[in-house]
Amino acid sequence: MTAAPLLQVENLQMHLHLRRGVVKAVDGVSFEVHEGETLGIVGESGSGKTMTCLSILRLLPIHSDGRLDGSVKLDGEDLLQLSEEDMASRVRGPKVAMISQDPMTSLNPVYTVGDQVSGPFLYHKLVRTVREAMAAAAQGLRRVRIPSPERRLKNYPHQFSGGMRQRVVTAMAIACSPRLLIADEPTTALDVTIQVQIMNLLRSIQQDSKVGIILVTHDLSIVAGLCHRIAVMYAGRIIETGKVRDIYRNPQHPYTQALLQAIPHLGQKRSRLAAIPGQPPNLIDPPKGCRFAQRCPKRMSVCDDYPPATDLGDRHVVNCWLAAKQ
Amino acid sequence: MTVILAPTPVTVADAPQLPFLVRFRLKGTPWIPILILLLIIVAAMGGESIAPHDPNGLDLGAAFRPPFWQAGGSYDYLLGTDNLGRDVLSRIIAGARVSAIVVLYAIGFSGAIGTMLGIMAGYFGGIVDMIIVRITEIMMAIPTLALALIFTATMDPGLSTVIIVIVLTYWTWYARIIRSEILSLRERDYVAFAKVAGCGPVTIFLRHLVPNIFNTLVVLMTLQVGQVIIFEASLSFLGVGIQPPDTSWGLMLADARQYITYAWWGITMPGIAIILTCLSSNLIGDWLRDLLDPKRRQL
Amino acid sequence: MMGLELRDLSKHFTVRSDRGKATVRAVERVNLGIPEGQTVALVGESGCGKTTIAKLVLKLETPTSGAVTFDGKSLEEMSRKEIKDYRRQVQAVFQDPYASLNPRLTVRRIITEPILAHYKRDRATLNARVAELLEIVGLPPRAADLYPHEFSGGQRQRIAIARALALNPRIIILDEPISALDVSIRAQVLNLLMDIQEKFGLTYLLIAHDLALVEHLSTRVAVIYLGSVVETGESEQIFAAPKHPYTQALLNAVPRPDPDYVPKAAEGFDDTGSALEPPSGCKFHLRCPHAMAVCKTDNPPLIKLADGREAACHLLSGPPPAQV
Repeated sequence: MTAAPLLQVENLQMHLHLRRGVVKAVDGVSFEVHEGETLGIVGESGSGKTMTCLSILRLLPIHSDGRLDGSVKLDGEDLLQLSEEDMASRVRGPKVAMISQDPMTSLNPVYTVGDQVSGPFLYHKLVRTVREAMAAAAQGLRRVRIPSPERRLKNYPHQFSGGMRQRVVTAMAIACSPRLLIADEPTTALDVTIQVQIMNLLRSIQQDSKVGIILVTHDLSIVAGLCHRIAVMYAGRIIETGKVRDIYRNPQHPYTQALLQAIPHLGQKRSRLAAIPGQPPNLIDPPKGCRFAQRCPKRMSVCDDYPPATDLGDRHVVNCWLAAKQ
Repeated sequence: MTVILAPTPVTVADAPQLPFLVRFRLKGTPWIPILILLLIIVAAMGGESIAPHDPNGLDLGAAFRPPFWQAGGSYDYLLGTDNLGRDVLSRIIAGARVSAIVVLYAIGFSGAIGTMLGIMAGYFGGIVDMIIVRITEIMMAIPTLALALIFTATMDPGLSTVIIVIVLTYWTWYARIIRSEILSLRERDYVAFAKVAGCGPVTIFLRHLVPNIFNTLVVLMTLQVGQVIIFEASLSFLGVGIQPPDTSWGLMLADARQYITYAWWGITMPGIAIILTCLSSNLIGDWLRDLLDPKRRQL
Repeated sequence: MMGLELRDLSKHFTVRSDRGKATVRAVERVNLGIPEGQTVALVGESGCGKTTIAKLVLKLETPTSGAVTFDGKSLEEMSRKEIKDYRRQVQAVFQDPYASLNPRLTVRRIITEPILAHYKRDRATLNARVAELLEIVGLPPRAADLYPHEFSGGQRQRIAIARALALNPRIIILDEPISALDVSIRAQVLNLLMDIQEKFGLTYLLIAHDLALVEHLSTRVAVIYLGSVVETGESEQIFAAPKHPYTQALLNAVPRPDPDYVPKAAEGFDDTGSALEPPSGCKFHLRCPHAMAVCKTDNPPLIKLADGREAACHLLSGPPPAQV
């Protein structure tokens, strides 16, 4: 891994100022994504995984006073320093695109699919005429393997099934051949049989275009088959990151270990699960030390200080005192 | 089994339980709007007896006196006088009564009728729903002013006609909104669960549906205060509402309109009274809604 | 037979579409026993009718034909008093703990609601019962006076479970009980469900789309496809060796937390199959990799296989009888 990473996020912070206090939704997150690589960001709801992605695109929730800090370098250019116009015209779409969770709400029901898929081509001036845009849109639908695309362009979103809609959304996302694709729970709303198809689609798009993918999910099973590397987030921070095999075969952080044991998976007989007690901490006033300490079975007194990042080799990094001590 | 109730995220489960009334506290209470509304209520109840002058006392010699702070104004007529020399302040006080009566009756009746029909339509569905929805659609298709003109042509124009017209117009509002509210509430899981638990329709209705439309009702009603005052004003303005010698804020606006260029206060003062009343009732409505919602009560 | 049984149960809905009225066959001739003490899971993809079955069992919907029977008696034929008795025996926990608790009631009132619907109890008895139920589900006694919004999703689901237990029911319908919860909370709630089943000898009817959860919790499984049962039997048998092609496709598609496992996609699968216009013959034949000529014309019946399970597939009924 000598090539410069496609995306390098360093000490990213996103703090939301609410009436109740400052929510540290993302609190010092660093990671990188290389060309043609898929990074899975795994975490529970409220762990900051979606906020991390929105921060990369500099999209903050409406009605909130948010503050972004740190740096997000895409091909060496810090996105946090760009003007809003540059973000809109040069970055969102041509460089970074996003697929969101709900294919029902990410398409506008009053426009045809053709109108919506051709939108990015026209907006980013990749084509000159509407006719060319429609041709490009049809090509886009073909890339995501929607049968008879020319005919389907005239249909409205409600005439598509959930899986097909997610394909349309994917076609829109890859319209401008982005460098980085952020997929936020792309399969959560879909049935299992359709889920696999979308995963395969993402994989084949990546093989064709060398796009870097960030896959955000709460489901450890989905990332296993698709990602090259995984970052586990807990309470606004990344607590363990490494190659997929290292994380699944040799998890070091007690949270990662517990999470892998706490989900029922196929091939497991009727038995009690090793439940993680308690609840994730409050992000307004998170514990000073390790944020998992309160629920951790291996808690020690040093855990009152935040554990340093320990590199176990091969970019397997864990923030835990147990690893630091060895 | 080791289940620990850890401090929950972003909640206040650990907050000490205060007595009901203390929890309401006075924090965030909109004192100024309450004060304004109280003043208006006092004015409405006192009416002529607390007005500094006779609201209908003509004094052509004192016509078009400006408010006291302008040159030519006097403390005798705090807010100036109109074209017939009547004291603007006294007329606003007298007009408050008419406005208050119209608001109370119109909102009371249209709210009660509309809410009841809306609940029936949403809860029973089917043919009941269809009939009620059709009636509201027909009512909404009739232009309000035409309705008002028909009524004044067949009945005497005046306070009761104004109230009838407003009730006839506004109940559809409540009916439609409450109906859709009930339709969505009816599908909530907790309603399904109450059925599973064996609760009868009356319990479900009183415990799970009615309290949850309360928010909407409060907001609708307080929003309507302003609308009713303005509606009454438009009717009076057109001459089909309140008839002299009675007065109302709307009628004052209508009377003062032609003198707006050289007696701005004649139209501005009742205008301000209307604005303050509407604004106060909306703010109090927001506050009441928060007060009645357990989710917001403790923030 | 004791307990719940679905007998030839069907539920059709009429919907208006562009081309006039159409009938959705949400549930089509389902036969299923729910033996006492077991956990029977209904598995299937969204829109397959499993939630409609739950609603029929809870008597929130009435069947178009067939019946749900309890201790041998059809719900439709029960008197008002018998229905009330049935309601006491059969309770439910729903998917979304945010929607299933009335935000305007305290936890105490939520939990006592089912009790007060059936009995008259004085305050002290009720309070004691609330405290007891909260302890069973692992919540502190002070939770009783809080409102639902003051709890996290997992805690809310515990409250919903406490409410379901309030009447000491025999059967609890679990409609996707953990799918709305956070990953790290799911195991807590799952363990709680298993504990109370053991403690109170409960029977569960589990509605779920997550096959891993089903394998984990259930003793018997019924796989539903477009309103009909396509395979049913002991949970272990079905997960070890699914016989129906649909069950096979479903199981193959489930991802596992294992980087070396690649779930198999059935690329021909489209999620457009709908109960509105089910195909003729076997409803699955359009997506089935083994479809034969007979599948397009004849709907295969559920037949009992040698190992005791039942499946509806022409592949399993052996060669068609030779024409004489």
